[in-house]
Amino acid sequence: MINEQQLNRLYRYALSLCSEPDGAYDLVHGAIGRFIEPPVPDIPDPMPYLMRSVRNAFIDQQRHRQRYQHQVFDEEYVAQDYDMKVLESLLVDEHLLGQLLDLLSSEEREMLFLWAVEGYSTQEVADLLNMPKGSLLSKIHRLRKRLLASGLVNEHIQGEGGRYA
Amino acid sequence: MPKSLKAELRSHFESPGLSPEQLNALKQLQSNHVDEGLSNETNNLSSELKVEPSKVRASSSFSFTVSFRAVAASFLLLALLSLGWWYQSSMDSGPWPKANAIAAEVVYNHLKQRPLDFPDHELTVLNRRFSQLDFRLQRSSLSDDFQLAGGRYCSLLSIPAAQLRSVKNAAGVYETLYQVDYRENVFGPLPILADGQAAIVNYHKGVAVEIWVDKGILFARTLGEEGR
Repeated sequence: MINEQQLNRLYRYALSLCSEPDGAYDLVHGAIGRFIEPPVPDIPDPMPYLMRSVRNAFIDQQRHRQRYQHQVFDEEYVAQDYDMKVLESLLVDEHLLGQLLDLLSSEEREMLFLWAVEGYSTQEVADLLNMPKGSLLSKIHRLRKRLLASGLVNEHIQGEGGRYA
Repeated sequence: MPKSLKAELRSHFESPGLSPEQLNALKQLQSNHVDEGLSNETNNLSSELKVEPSKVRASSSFSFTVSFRAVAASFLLLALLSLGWWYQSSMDSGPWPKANAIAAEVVYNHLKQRPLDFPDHELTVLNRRFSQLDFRLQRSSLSDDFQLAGGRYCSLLSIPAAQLRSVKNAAGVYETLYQVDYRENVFGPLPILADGQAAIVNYHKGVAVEIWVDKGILFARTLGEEGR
């Protein structure tokens, strides 16, 4: 039995994908429906399974409606120590967050959700999104540049010698 | 005062949650499968009982213990079966056990009035549009007067379905008609028009839903306030 906390967690993940409460509920409902169809998979933590199910359903839905934008990124050189932590230096005003999220694709919103809310590492996010780590790092690099260029976020300057100074 | 992007994102995404009604619907969806889980458990017990006696013969000193366990297991099996039966009969009673669940889901989505995927008025056009369905939309004698306004993809008890909406009548009331591939193992027995059975009407949240099976398709139609 998936408890309330898990259902809400799943709902928030779905919301990060589709930005629409009714659509998010449909995704959760569908995932639970598929999960409990016998034979019920015997897995100790069903959340990763359910999240993948929500994600697959969302992608199917978007492809079907031909609204899913496949964004192709060129692989580019990324330093080894470059990961999602570079986003941690970004600052944003609460009232600008809505505008910022509107700028993002569903994939970027999902990426930020998995990093900020679920607390996954760069490699874990790459695994969940089913993409090579290099591609994810390229996306992060471009996203960070785009956010800074939008003027909606600032960069926190750390002390002398800091990584982001 | 700007805060870190991570903190703002966390607070933004953690604030929304499912409404109590949505949580209840999801819990209900899960509890509908509890009885199936119980029957699986009893099957496991039965298979365990079949295995035990052969081991018992090998040692007579063991026989009393195993017999006791068999009796205890039988009682447990009986208790589980009774529980399953009680649960089943309290949740799904009558000749059409899934009719309540069907009506509840149809009414829930009828009242939501989500945007249509295809605002087409012709069934033949809609049949082309619903390319992802594994069945063809059908006409039925009980839906002849349903004036189509369009349709959207939906599901009924987790089976992909078409949710069709009628144009509003003079009173400003619209109707919803679900069509879905009829699977008896999922939807349970339902009245089949071809067998001379009459459609059933089930009420949920004050909305009447007429349910029947025709041409291998399950139809569920909300009725206007005055009925038809």
